[in-house]
Amino acid sequence: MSGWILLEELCKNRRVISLCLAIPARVEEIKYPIAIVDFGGTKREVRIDLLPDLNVGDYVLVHVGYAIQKVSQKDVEELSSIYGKLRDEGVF
Amino acid sequence: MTKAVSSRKDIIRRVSEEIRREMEGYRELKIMHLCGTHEDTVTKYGLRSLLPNNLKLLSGPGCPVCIIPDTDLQRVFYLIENEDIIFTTFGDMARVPFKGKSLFYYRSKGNDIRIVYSIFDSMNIARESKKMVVHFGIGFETTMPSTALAILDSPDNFCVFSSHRFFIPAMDYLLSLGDVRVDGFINPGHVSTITGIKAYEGVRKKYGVPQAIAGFEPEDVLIALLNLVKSIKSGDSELINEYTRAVTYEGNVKAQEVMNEVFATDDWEWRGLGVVPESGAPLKDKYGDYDALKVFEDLFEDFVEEEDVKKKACRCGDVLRGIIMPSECPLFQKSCTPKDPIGPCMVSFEGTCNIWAKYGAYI
Ligand code: SF4
Repeated sequence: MSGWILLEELCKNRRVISLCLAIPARVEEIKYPIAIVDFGGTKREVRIDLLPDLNVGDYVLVHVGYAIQKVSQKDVEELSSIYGKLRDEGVF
Repeated sequence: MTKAVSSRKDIIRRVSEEIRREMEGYRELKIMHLCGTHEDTVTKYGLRSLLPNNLKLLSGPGCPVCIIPDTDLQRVFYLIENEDIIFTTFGDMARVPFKGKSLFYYRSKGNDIRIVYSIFDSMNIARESKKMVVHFGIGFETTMPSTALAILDSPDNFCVFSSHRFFIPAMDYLLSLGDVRVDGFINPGHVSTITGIKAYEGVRKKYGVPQAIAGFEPEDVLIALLNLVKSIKSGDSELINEYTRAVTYEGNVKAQEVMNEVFATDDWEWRGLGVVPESGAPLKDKYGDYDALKVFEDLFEDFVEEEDVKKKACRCGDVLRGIIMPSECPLFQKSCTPKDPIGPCMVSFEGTCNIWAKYGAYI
């Protein structure tokens, strides 16, 4: 379960929940202390109490239903695209 | 092939070559990672095979499900057997056996056990029910703030059986045991997101062991290893942050505040480590109304601890301490498999035995 993309997939089908990991998601709507976030297609409500100054469009790392940290869009896109390509091309 | 791909493969090749160069003619070093997801990355991509023979990468007590001792599990089962409650848990925990029974077993017997994605789902279940809902609170500092938030906003018919444990005291304790020499640690990425880098200063000062906070991609782990090797060779006990994407020096201060508000500390047992000073996270007395141990105090007075003889030969504890690798356990992939696990290290998908079985790592 190492790549973020793989984790998004896991998260989507919700069969397993990692207690070590947080998954990046985009904030779509804020109804404090809850936000609707998008994990690459799957939307979920998460608690955002622990992150001050969050705006729609920000990226956050989500762990067991709450946002633990803000991350930059660049970081998320870079990782996701690299992982997607690697997987598609069967490099790993 | 695209540029992104070749550059990533290049990074992995370059970094592993440099590690080999740095290690040439040097004494054997043991570096321990502390997170199930790191083990997954390492085993899935065969990173150990890229390392020279004198650099050993050990796996430590980083699987939150695995380190929960049998007595916690046995108490939970005792509660479920004796009280008419709704019990909520993360899925990974529901398969861990004690004396042949698990939370899934109780569910199949008609007990109301529900698998949830987060504690907030459990609270919603409580809001729609008249029954008492008890949530199995497991996990390290990454997960604990969610439990704290829930307690601060909890309906009356909701409480938590806290098996939460603070991770950093376990690093300290592991080093104090001294049965495995650890030359450097790869610290868990998302525990660090909450605690911040500052939380590791104590261990660094006390033991002088360099640490690198790393992300979960294969090159993250390799770069952390390279920097640790350099740091060990130079004699500096550095605290290196490779995971700047998600970790700051101070961490998530708000999350630390809610944790401190709700949880006390106590000396609690870990599977494999024994009693680790100040690692337990019971709820503070003022939140006793939400603490399953207090809510069901009378019931637990009659609780008697037992031993699971089935687990006698399981060496999960040694796996969690980094003393052995799963393949050194005589039961690994024989009587203990992911389908029919004996110990929690084979149950949890963050457990080292489970990861090794999944990727066929038998070396
Ligand atoms: S292989 Fe099974 S029995 Fe052996 S240490 Fe791992 S969990 Fe325990």
